[in-house]
Amino acid sequence: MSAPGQGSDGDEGGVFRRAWAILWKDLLIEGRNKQSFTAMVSFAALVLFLFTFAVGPDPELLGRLAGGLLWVGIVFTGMLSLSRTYQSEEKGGGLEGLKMYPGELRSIYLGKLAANLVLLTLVEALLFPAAAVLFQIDMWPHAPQLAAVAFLGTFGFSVVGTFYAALTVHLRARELMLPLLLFPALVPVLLGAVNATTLTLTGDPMGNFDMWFRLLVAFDVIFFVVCTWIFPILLED
Amino acid sequence: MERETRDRRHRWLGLAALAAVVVGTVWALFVAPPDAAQGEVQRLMYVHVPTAWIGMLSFFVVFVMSILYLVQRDPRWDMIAHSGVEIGVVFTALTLALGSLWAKPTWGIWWTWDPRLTTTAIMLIIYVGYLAVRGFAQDPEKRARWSAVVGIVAFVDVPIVYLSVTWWRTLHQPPSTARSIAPEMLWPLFLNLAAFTLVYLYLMLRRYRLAEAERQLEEETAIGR
Amino acid sequence: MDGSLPYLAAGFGLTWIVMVLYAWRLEARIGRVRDGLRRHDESTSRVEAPGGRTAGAGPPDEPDHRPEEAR
Repeated sequence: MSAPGQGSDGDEGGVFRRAWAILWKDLLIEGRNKQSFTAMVSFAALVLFLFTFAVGPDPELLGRLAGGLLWVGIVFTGMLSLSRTYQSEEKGGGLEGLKMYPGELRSIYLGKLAANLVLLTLVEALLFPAAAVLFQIDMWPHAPQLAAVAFLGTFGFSVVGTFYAALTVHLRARELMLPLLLFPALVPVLLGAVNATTLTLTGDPMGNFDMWFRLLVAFDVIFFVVCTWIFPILLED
Repeated sequence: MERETRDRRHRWLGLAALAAVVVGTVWALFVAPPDAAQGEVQRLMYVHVPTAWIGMLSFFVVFVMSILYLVQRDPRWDMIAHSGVEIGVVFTALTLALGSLWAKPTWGIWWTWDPRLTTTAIMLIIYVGYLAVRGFAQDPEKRARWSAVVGIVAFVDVPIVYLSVTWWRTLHQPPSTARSIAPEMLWPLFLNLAAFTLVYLYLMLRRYRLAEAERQLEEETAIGR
Repeated sequence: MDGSLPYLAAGFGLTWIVMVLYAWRLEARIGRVRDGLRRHDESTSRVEAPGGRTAGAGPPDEPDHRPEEAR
């Protein structure tokens, strides 16, 4: 495939500097308007409550389901933040403005990806302790391992999510199209993250944790490469 | 007119495909021996495996055409890709229905979380998403570009989905081991695979004709506006 | 037969019905789009008739001087 994108003068540092600038801009906007972050955290907690209502309050059952419930909550909350990723740019033609800057279009993707990743990580930093209290699980001893799984899962989600959000933002019915494209593509991430989390929390007699961990790493690497490579094609006009 | 000679040639191909499928069905139902373990139901294999094969072949063609489109930006590749997804979705849905019909008398249930069955269902949803992207995009060039991107990402994703679902299942139950197939069953299977491939070829050619006519209409109405 | 006849009939029947129905619908769709094309060609050839006048926009001022419609 011929290298898509434009104006790549071999200026690798430029890509990351621009990505950093976009990340910083998005975080500043989020920081100035804290309601949306509060709303996201509340929504994530709400998902945990709803699922607990659905399966019943049996602590032993909840302990076994905790990994799945957590990740469903994270994925649903992530959807909310994704659909806003490019919409904030749409008002006032911000995305067109970003595209006008000299340099690689990939920096837009990397910047937005990083912004989503940071935002979701902050949500998780509150959600995991909340789940530990609600489901009566002792998470502290496993904290480093959980953090690694959470990072890999969130990274995989954000890689594909930021990519498809850029595709659906110009479609009619984008609120429907983003989850329709994203959720089936995320099946490996969801299975990997849920199983790795559950095995970490409830014990891993068969030693299957490594397998799921490697699946997450493989998914993240493959889709990071593929999505970064073809992202500029999405933004052509 | 050139179009009419091509239409006529397609009709001959269609008739050949029809004849092949008739022979394949008769062979599968009346000539091939019943399976020693599963009995008569096992004959569903002769349509289940070919429909699954057509689905996968179709999506592989879509993957190749999507890459070709992004490299050359020739609308014809996009039209083939679109045709391929539509036919692939039809055959994949058929595969799922046949799998269900096979599961009921064999295991007593309509659905099992078998890795292949589950992956096929996810794959179907992924490509329905492809068609939805096309439906919701208006500009022909953007529609082609976006759907080509989806066609590539989807094809990269399906093997990983299969791997993850297989691991997920093998933690709960041992995987079913594939038995070797007797030659009396292998020949009718090959025949049906060939017959369905002919059907696929015929449907692709006709679907491409439709895409061609639609594109022409789209262009002319765009000029008229 | 071991009670699997309904499943066999349903399986093979469904396969046949889906394939035939799809092929048949395909022909109908092709026919419809080509009809649309033909109708569009006819209407544009009328619209683009010389004289700068659109078809159906009212009676021409000098009907005798109007050139033949391009076909």
